[in-house]
Amino acid sequence: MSTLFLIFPAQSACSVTTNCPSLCSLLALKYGSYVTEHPADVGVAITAFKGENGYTVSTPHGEQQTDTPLSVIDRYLFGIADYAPTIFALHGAAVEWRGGAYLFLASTTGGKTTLASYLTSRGCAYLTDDCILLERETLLVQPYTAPIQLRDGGMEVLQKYSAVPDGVQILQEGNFLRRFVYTPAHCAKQAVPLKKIFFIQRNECENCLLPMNTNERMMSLMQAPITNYTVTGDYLRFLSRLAKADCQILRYCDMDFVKELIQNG
Amino acid sequence: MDRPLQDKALQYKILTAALHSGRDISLTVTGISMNPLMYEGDCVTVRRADTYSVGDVLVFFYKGEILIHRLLKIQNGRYFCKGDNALRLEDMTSDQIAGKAILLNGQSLPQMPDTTVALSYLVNRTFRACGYNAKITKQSGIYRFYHQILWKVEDKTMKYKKNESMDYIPSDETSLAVFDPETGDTHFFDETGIDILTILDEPCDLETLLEKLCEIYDATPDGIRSDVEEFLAKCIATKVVEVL
Repeated sequence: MSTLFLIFPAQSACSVTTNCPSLCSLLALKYGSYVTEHPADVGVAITAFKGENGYTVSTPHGEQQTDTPLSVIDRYLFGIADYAPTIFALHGAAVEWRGGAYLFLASTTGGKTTLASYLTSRGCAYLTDDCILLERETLLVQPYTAPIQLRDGGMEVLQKYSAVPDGVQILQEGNFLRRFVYTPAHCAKQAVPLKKIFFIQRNECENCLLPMNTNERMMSLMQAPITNYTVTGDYLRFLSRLAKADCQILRYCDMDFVKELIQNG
Repeated sequence: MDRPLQDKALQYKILTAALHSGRDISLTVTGISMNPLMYEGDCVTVRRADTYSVGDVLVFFYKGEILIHRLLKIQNGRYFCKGDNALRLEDMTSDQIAGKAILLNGQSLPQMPDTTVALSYLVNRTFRACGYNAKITKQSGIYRFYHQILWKVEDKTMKYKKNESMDYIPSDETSLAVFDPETGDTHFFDETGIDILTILDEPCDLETLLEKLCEIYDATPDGIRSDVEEFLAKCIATKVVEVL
């Protein structure tokens, strides 16, 4: 029996106790350095026991029989994620270049991960793949360097750019979850000031930047959180402040256009 | 000799059975609740649909009556209808709905703008807030404004004012977010909207508002009247502006 502790930045820690070594390996592969065996205070304790008929995953919300315990645990953790009130958590990827954080916001399968992976292969430091932790007061972006998880399509794109990362492992669970997983060699080590926010739109033929007026920025930012924040006047005041940052729509068909944009202005 | 069917429930059953068979059915309007769109004696053609949208004019069975009223809201599987010229809101489930009006006297049914639909709903909310007193409701700003739009008559006594119970969050001169603490809705305004709402810091009638806007913009009152009226209707429907 093993207990692993998942300690993510700006969130409550949780533990997973399991009798299955391969689940331990999958957890380590998925969450990287945020998984430890060193005991920590946890808000949530999960158990995942392997039996003759699959796994029994128990959380404070109930018990579930499954063949895909990692997916069940990940969905559960996503659902209960409670970010520190000082943090604004956005659904996006981010890289650091010369002391500034560049944010790429898009919905799932919008190209964030592939872009972040490519940019880190071209000299940018990795900040995050999926969840941007922005400090509300200072607008610093905290590193959240869980392993990058590329889909098949993303890996194919990187192959075309000759930018396949080193040390890639395959994370696979059942027929549904299959990712190429790695942690970039060059990760940001400390919080980085926000430099630009790009609302990315991948396409087949166009590279351009489009300006956004303040209302468009606010409305786009309202769509961007990774979790459901209650909209209040104070929340909108924060978004109004954030909207004063350099926000643009970035349409790209060539990731080198994005690289040039960041590295050469 | 045919006998008139007195049993409304039976009439409704026959109506729904006919509509379920795929046929369109014609009904004759009685009453005044859908004035000025429909009048007594008008012929409405009804068709069954799989789904109904806010703004549709529905035929439904409610408290022993077959009604032709407009759908104003759908919430938690319940449908809320009201006559355009009525105050009462009827709520029902989808199985009480027979179909929707598609033709009026053989002509396509004109669509009611979303803003007017929202105002019609607000009229009912006002009716409720007034203790279901029709006389007091009809004196309210929201009713008078809706009545003016519905009947296309001008009420020059109405004054408008920015609703102080909203939370106004200016970003810069081009952006204002208005948060409604009651509904949780957020509304955004650009420069022109900000200018109008700034004028409406103080109670103001339409003519004065138009004059003040013409001092800011190179325009004539009649040139911007319809745009400003539409803007006001949207603001009133979202409660950003009150009618005094």
